[in-house]
Amino acid sequence: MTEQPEKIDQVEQKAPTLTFLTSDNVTIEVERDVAQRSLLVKHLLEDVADTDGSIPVNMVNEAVMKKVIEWCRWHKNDPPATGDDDDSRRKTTDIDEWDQKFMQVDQEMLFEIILAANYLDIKGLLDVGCKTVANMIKGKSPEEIRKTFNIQNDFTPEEEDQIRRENEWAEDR
Amino acid sequence: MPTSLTSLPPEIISLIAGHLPRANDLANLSRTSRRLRETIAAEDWRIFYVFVTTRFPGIETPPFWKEATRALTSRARALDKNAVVGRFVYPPPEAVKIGRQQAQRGDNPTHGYRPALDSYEEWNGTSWNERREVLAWGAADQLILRVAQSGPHPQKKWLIFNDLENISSLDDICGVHLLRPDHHAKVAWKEHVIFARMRGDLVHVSIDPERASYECQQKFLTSGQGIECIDMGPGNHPALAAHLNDGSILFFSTTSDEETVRPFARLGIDPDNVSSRLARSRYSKFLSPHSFAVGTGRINDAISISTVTESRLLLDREISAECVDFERVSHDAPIKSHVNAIAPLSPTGQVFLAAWGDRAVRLHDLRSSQAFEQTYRDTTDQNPIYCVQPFGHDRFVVGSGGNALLKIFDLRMTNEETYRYREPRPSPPTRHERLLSHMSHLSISAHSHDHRFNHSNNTFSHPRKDLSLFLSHQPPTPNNTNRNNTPRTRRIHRDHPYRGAIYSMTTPSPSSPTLYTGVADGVTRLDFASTDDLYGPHRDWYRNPLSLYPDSQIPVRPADRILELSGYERPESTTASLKLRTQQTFGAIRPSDVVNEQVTGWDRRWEKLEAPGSWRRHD
Repeated sequence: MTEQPEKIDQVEQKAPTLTFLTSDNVTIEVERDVAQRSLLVKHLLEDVADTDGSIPVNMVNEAVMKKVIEWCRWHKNDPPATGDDDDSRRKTTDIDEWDQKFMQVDQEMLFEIILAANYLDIKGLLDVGCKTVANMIKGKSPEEIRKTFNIQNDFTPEEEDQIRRENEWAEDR
Repeated sequence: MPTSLTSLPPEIISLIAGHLPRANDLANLSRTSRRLRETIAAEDWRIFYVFVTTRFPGIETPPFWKEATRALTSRARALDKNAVVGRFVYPPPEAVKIGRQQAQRGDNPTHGYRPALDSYEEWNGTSWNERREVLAWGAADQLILRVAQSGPHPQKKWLIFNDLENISSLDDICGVHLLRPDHHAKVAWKEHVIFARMRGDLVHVSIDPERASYECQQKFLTSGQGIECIDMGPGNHPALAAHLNDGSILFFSTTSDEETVRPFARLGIDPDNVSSRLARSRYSKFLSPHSFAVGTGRINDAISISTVTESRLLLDREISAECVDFERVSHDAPIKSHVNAIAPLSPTGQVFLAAWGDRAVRLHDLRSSQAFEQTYRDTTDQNPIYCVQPFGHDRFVVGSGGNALLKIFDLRMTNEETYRYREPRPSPPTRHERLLSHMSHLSISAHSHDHRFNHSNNTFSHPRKDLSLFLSHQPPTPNNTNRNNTPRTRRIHRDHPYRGAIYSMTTPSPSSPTLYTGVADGVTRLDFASTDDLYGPHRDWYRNPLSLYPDSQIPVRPADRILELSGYERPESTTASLKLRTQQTFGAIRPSDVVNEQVTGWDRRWEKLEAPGSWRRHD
């Protein structure tokens, strides 16, 4: 586990690679099998036989892309997602230790990773991201959730009262 | 603008919300801001569809997702709080009699009747509470039918049917099945009942509750043999199985148009096999529309599973008593290989529960090469098991053969995403290991010994503190019946608690909070509802479908009163002492009981345990 952070920059010599061009115009080289954790990339490679140029990822900046690649490299030997929607939900809510550490980032980065995972179609990463956010929400009162995510309460007092009554049934369950 | 929770696209917010474990988390998230509320409440709170299907897998509900969430979480919460309300189900004087008014009894039975039960419910309105529940049971020679509509226009209809002039115990009804609304032969406004009498009569009768009329639709030919039990498969073209006294089983189509239906298949017993002639094959059950399980009473194929269709009868699998962790006192003691009850847990029937002769319920999975996956045992009760009923999304209920004991077991499948009101309590693992090694020499072979250890993490990994309830109240009996109405039996009824068996159980739907249980001479209903829900701001929503009005000023007849039950949490080890608890009336609840509920987790209706005296052992 300790050598893991260095892996990003040490691309193995023989492995075939791809390059990404991030939104802030940085090129990142990455092994093909790591990049193919992204179904978007995988399908792209299936359609285009030869990719000499770099793949533009306009939605993702360098810092986020590096995090995404770090995740993909660690998980490159995971069994592929079956595409079954129930697959991830059926499994445990627990996040494994490595992923938990990986997700210890500031909120902006966390949401950027989620958006990138969604855009690049990396189901495992999207799930871990969403579970991390869900863990930050669960068990909290509305006011605590607002505080955690810096959400502006834009309800009028009347609306707030009405919505409170509407949701009263869910208390303690 | 930096990326924040509120700036995420709605589909991602929905994904996040899909991982929230509580209904309250979803509600609270929707209360934070307009944008989040719009996303969470979109499409009439479709997020609760995700919640119901993830947290309550296998429980089909109509698409009132928000109300379904409410009903299912409330029931799970009530089960975790041991919050149960017991009442008798007893026909009122205005019940309409159909067929013969009064049959002449030719014998004087010494035992009460064993009710065969069935029920279903269907949604027939625009909200969760608008539904129609039908309950039918065989009360000795009579068939009792109750049709209850809940919602804004509640209504109840009671019908008592009998078509015999002279009766004896052989006319007792030993099996009842209601055709479901999607059945091909069912007329929408009628109730169709297939029932069997012990004598061997097996008929299909339709009853029109409005006109109080009946029509005999079909007779099933049973070759003059007496009937042990019957079963009807699931689905809209179900087959009917009649388990005869000689151990053979006849299969009939229920969708045939003929007035006299001949069996399309017969599952016989091997006449050359001595053990099969001696064995008592008495129980069988459909696991799915075409998969049929028989408790043969033999050792090598204690449970035998076959495919049954109109074109073929094919043996699929046999489960031997030698291959399960059968418990017996010594190696010389005979194996009681009777399997008295079977209940499928999945629509495919691949996963099912079976109650074995060693008083253990085992979970079997036909997809697995193992004979069983898990064993559930109650060390506090030595009676055989009479019936098993899956209940809730993660529990099953067992009816004991004695002491009026009804036992709830926690299935706690490996799926950790299912809904839990209360987190499982940790327990000391050392005790389990001791228990395990203590019991291992009792299993019947070295093979099963190993087996047990291989799967011991399955068998004992979850701390269980499950509830056992005594349904000790004698059910009401009519004064005008010929049966059991000598002054002596009346006195017995008044003075002595019921100590008999729980013979049968039914629940109207997988989402219902109601469990009907058949005891000798009657039916008791158990509703799993918390006192704080029944008395909370939404009390009517909870009370209406149960027609449960505990503080009503209208006097009720004794047969309709709310019962005070007693029960105990089964200890995790054989050495711990049992703490018997008793319910009090709703009216007797004091603020200290509310505090006690918060401390102990038991619903406030359970009386507080007295502090143990110095003479008492402390565990």
